[in-house]
Amino acid sequence: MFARVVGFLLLVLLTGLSLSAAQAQRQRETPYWASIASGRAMMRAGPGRNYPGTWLYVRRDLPVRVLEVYQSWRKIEDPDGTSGWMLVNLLSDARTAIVRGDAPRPMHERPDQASPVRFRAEPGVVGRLSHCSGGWCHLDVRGRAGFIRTGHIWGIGRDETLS
Amino acid sequence: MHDLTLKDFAGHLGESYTVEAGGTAFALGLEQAQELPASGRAGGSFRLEFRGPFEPILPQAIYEFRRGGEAFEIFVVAIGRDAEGTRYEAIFF
Repeated sequence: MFARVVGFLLLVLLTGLSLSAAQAQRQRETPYWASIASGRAMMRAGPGRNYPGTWLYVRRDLPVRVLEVYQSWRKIEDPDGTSGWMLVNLLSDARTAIVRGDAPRPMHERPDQASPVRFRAEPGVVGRLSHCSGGWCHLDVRGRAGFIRTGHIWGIGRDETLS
Repeated sequence: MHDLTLKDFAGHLGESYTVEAGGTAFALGLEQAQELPASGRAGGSFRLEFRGPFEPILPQAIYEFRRGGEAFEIFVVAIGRDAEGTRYEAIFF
């Protein structure tokens, strides 16, 4: 009985959180940044399950830019510039970024070009963003973190700050 | 904007909606409102069919459809054209 009550309360709590997140998404102005929340997320040609799938994304945390909002669907653009529609449930508000360019990018100890380089991130590496300002972002790549120039990543606006 | 349902349209067949595109207002008449098999969509699955002027053909996009004092944002796709005008479909699935 106790387990059932706890389970029910948990369900109510999770449903409430989910509704709040959906509500928050609805009120956001486009464009805004998001990331793919699921390990398998289908992009479609239009905002409905009846529209053909164009790409299947199998990369959780990939940053995307939300261009349009329509009911439970979001028109997104991926780092390569491909755009299409995805169910809002497959997206997260978590801010992530992908390393761009042709060569590994230095990840510094501090947001300062002269600070030591902790490691170098290969192009295509995805990490969690935080503390972006002055042309630098703190990027956490599965536990290894450092500061990277915003010009070396996709997932943050040119003059955007993030705390 | 709430999740649209078939009830929002089923009683309005034959009515005209005003749609603005490129600074011009067009009249699109609602010709069909049909239930579709359940897809898991909140509010149920359904399709609408509108008929607009022969020209221009509105590109696939979200438009604001105004009916009386109400406004609905609807993603429509042109699906055909005959002497009576251009048909557009909106699917909620």
